[in-house]
Amino acid sequence: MTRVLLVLVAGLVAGRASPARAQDGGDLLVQALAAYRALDYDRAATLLRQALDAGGAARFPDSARAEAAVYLGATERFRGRHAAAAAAFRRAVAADPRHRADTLVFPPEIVQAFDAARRSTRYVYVRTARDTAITTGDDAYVVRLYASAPHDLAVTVRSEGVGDPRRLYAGPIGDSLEVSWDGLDAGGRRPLEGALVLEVASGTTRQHPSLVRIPLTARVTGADSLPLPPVPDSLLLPERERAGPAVRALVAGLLGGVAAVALPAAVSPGESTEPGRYGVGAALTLAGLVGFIVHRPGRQIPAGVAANHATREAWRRDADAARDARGQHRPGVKLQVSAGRQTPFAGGEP
Amino acid sequence: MTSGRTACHAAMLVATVAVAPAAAVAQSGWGVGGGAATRITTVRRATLAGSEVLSGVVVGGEGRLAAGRFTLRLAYAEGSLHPDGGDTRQQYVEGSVALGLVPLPGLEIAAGPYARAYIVDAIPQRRLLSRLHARYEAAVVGDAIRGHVEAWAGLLHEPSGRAAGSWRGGGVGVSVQPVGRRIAVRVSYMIDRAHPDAGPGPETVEALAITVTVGRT
Repeated sequence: MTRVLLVLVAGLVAGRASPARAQDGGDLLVQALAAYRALDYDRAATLLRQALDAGGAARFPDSARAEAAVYLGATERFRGRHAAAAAAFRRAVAADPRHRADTLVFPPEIVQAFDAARRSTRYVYVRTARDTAITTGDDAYVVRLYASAPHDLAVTVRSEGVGDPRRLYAGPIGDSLEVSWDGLDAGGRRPLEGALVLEVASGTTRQHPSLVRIPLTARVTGADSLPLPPVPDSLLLPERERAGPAVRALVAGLLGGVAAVALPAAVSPGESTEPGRYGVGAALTLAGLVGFIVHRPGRQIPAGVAANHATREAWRRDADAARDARGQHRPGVKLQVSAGRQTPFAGGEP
Repeated sequence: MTSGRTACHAAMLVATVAVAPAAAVAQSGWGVGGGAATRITTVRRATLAGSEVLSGVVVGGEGRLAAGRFTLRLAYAEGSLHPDGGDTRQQYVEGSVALGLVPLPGLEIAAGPYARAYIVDAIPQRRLLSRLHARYEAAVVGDAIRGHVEAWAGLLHEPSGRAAGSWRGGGVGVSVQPVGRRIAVRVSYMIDRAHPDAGPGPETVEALAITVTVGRT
């Protein structure tokens, strides 16, 4: 394990970490392990603590930080500082709840002390897919939990800062646990979109629970695979003019114009002197021509388009309300879920 | 009658047809409309001395009450007519009541009494008529511009009620109603001709009217 730790640290120093900060932690760790092997525990403890506290240590893999903390606990144990040793072991568990003291490297006394510290803590490591797509209601977003020791925990997902949380699990965890989320909100009806938070709370409030938070981003990327039933035609207005209204307008205008001119001849031949009737006839004829142009076949009818849009929106709202009333969700919504880096909050002993 | 009295009557009619519908039209199943009209009227009629032509401006109002397929129409108008080349002014008054039926959308058939009077020196010369009236109205440009044609036929009556001649006429018009408004302006032309069985001869009345309406008329 020591060799593994050295390889990890060397790799960080050589390539992955930023030069200055990783150099600090990596060099310190190499020197600390050399002092440990030379049984110079005072120097080893000082160097290990400096290495873990150095800024570059945060860039170490969780397993490397946990291993370094176990070395620190062993060093403190050999120095007779049992409380400091227990604290170092808990630090190792916090870094990686799955970590165990290597029985080939450390003597049974150290392994037992580490196990005692591990059993007295309740840290959880959460593994999620960084970026995945699910179909709400059908697929599941899987969250894997690894516990430092058996205990009770609760897993929830909620919109950041608002809304009721969707409880995914509440109960005991042994070594590990798999929890799934169907992508829906607290009511199990609608996709939960936007900035979300996945929370894993270990223990109860009275027991100083630890809390792990993972920011999630969820966005709907696909439409329903089962579309709404179409709006019945009887509820929709025409959106394009047909030939009928245009022809009727033209005929009405022309006939009205002819009637205005011909009416005196039909009622009282030869006696009309009112020229105004020609104006009425011309107005009717002109109106008929305007009506033909306004209602020309194929022309879009803005009022019909707007009314149908409102009708379709109302139809969709009614369908959603009906689903809500039946406790159903919109099936088949594609949800893209991205996970951020997990952040552990206060953890503690029982 | 004086022109002041005419104006007073016209104002009352306008108030009646413009205000009352606003209160009543909201009731479902009922429709109320009305309007005020100004008409340029020409009368040609035979006299014992030959013929005369009278013309002038007549002001009046009309109202329409609809209940389902049934309608009630009221109309009243009066004004002064002047003879061509003469000074003797005649007062002209007309009024009508008609009960109607709407058998098809836009088509209205109505029947009822009609009265017309010429008053010279406080002596009225009345025409009492009964008529059957058909009117068809249709949208030409949406509901913004509508056109109508109408025709009527009837009988002249003596004061005793006995038939004393025939009567027929017709009209055509176009109305413009701005979108979203209840007020419309209608321009119409009408002509009718009465044939008394006795007397000097026929009488023709012709008018060009501008009417401001509220509601469906």
